[in-house]
Amino acid sequence: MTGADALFGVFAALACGGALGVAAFRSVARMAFSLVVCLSAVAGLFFLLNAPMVGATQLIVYVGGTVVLLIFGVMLTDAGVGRRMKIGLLETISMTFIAIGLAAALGWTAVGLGRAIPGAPVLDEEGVEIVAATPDTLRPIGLKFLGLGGESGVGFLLPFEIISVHLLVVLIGAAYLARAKRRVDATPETPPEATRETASDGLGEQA
Amino acid sequence: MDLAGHLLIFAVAAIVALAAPLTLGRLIRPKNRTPDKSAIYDCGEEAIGSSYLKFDLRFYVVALLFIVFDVELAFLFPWAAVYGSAIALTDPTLSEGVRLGLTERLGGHTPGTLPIEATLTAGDATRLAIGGALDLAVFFGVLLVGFAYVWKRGDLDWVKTVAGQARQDALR
Repeated sequence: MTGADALFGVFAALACGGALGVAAFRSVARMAFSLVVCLSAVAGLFFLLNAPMVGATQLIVYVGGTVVLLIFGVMLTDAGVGRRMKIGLLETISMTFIAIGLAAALGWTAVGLGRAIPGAPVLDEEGVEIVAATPDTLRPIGLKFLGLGGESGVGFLLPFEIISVHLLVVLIGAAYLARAKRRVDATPETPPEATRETASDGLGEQA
Repeated sequence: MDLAGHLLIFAVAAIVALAAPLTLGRLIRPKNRTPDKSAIYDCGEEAIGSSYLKFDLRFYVVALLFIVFDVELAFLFPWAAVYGSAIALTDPTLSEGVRLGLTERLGGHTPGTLPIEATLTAGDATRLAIGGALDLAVFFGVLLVGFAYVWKRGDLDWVKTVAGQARQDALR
C-alpha cells in the first residue's frame, strides 16, 4: 500500500463523513460546514486521481463559491442561520431509499473500475523512471484552451472565448435580477430603511 | 516514501500537535464553570441578542459578482500553468536537456518520450507566451465589459440610492 492509497482512504472517509453530516445535522450552519468538508475531500480525491484542473475547479467554484453563496442565501433570508430544519418521516424514508440506490450504483461502478489511483512510477533496473507515475494533465488542457495541442492540433479556443461571453451574460443577468425593484411612489418622506433597497436605475433618473 | 505519504505524515503531525495540548488541557484544568466564563466574549461588553443576525441584502449582489469572477478564475488555472512553462522556455540560455524536459512538461508528455526535434525554441515559446497573453486579454476583456456595466449602473455602490438621489436632485 502506497501513501497515495492511504491518503485516498482518508479523503474518501472525509467525503463520506461530510456527506453524512449534511444529511444528519439539523442546523443549517453545520450542514454548510459539513458540505465544505465533503466538497474539499472530493477535491483532494480529484488531485489524487491526477486531475488537477477538476480538483482546482472543485475547490475554487464549489468550496469557495457555491458554499459561500449558500451561506449568504441562508443569512440573507428571514429564516436565519440558527434555524433548525424539520424533516418529515415520509421524506426520510424516500430519501433513504434514493441514497441506498445511489450508493449501490456508485459502489458497483467503483468496484468495476478497479484501482483508480495512478500507480507508482515504472522503474528500470538502475532505478531510473521509465514511465512517470503522474503525467501532467493540467498543461495539455491549458494548451487546448489556447487552440493548440492534441492529436489533431485543434483545441478549444472558440469555446474558451465563448465561456467568457457566457459568463458576461450571467454577470449582467445576475446583476439585473439582484437589483431591487424601484418603487414607483418613492417620495422624500419615505424612511431611509425603505429607500435603501431601491435601485437608482436609468428610469429613476429620468423620472 | 512518495509525496502522498509525506502529505499524510504532515497532516497527522498537524492534527496531533493541535489535539495533544487540547486534550492535556481538558484533563488537567480545574472545572469550575461560572456564568461569566461561559458568556460570549464581545470586547468586554455584554452581548446583546443572537449572533445569528440577518445580513444586508446588498451583500448578495457582491456575492453574485464574486461567483462569476470565481468561475472565471478556475479557467485561468490551466492557462497560467501553460503561460508559466512558456515563459520559462523563452530563456535562450537554457541547455538542450533542460529545454527538452520543459517542452515535455508543457505538452504533458511522459518524460523521455519526446524526440529531440520536437524541442520548442525560444522564439516559438515567445510566440506562444504572447499568443496566450492576447488570448487571455480577450477572455478577460469580455468580462470587464460586464464589470463596467455593473459599475456604471451603480450596483457596486453601497449607498446607492443616496448617490442616485443626489444626482436626481441635481437634474431637477
